Amino acid sequence: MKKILLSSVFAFLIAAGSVFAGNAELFSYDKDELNNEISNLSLLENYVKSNEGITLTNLVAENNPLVAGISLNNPFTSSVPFGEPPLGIGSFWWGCVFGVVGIAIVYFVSDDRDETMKAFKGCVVGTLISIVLYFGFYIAILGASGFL
Amino acid sequence: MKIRLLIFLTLMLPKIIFGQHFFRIEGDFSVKEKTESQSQLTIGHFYFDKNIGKLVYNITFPEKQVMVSEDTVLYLFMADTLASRTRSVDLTKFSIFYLTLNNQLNNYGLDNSFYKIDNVENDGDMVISTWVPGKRFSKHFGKVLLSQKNNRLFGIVFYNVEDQIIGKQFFEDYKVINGINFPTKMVKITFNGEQKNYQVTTFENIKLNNLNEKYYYDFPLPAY
Repeated sequence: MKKILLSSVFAFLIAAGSVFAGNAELFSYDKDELNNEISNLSLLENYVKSNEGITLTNLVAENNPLVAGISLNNPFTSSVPFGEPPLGIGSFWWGCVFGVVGIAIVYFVSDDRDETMKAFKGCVVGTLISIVLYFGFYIAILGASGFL
Repeated sequence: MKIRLLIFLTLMLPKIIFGQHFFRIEGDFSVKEKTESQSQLTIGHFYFDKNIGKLVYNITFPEKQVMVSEDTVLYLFMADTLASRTRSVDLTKFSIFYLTLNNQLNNYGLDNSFYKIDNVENDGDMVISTWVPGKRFSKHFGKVLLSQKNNRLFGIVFYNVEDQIIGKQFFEDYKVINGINFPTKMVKITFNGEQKNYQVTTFENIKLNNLNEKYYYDFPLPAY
């Protein structure tokens, strides 16, 4: 009985150890590989820090070999520009065709003051055109029916 | 007299030791990033005041520019002129600076997110915890494994919903600044199929509660 119990405990410890070891291994990386990958950037970093105020433009202008393949991109995040009108349709037309509703759509979707102003201008122009057409038709109908 | 001193120390010592409130952090930084197609280096000085909520990067390389993150908007200024205004994820709330000042770095702020702790285990000198997203988010986010060494955040492993590792992040070379632990090196590895992308961020000259600097901590932004 004792042997069975001891064997069971032993087997459990081995099993538990192997499970835990799997997760610990996840928290490692090849430091040599990393240092090798960024070695050129490390050289450039040291050069820039020892030449205060120098920029990539300066280094490119002097054909410095340290900047071959260096990018100017923003490293922090990918981002979406403001001012994209809804569905790719111009903000002016949203306001012109759909009026106040169009302005609201542009305001909430583009989240951009300039685009909302375009929609507002579109709304004003659309309203003026509607008024002109309304009175134009009104006058035309009255004229055709002999009232004018 | 001695009794008065003893009473004073008994009452005030915990406040003196633990009561200091840190709300500002700044320092030099460099980001080295290597992908299959490109390499990039960014060097500058960062400023973050958790009461103001603006994360400001005064970048000196590759070009002189100032980048400000506030809420979900990222402003880029070149020669004091606004060059672009873009949407982004809220960089401030998940930044190492916010987590440090709010004493949330040990768990990477996961305990204040939609993730819930699922399991904790000890392995050698590491404590490894498994975090799973709440039901509402489980269709879009995978689990996260987080390890601590000496009660400090050491590493994070990110999974996708198919339970595949998509990235790892390591926090190294901790320095104690005014009693606060701050990792001066972060290594981020993201997996893109067989390809690995590396990002190494290093920090130097970290300062807390620098009240002499006003302009950059509350960098003026255009009104919209």
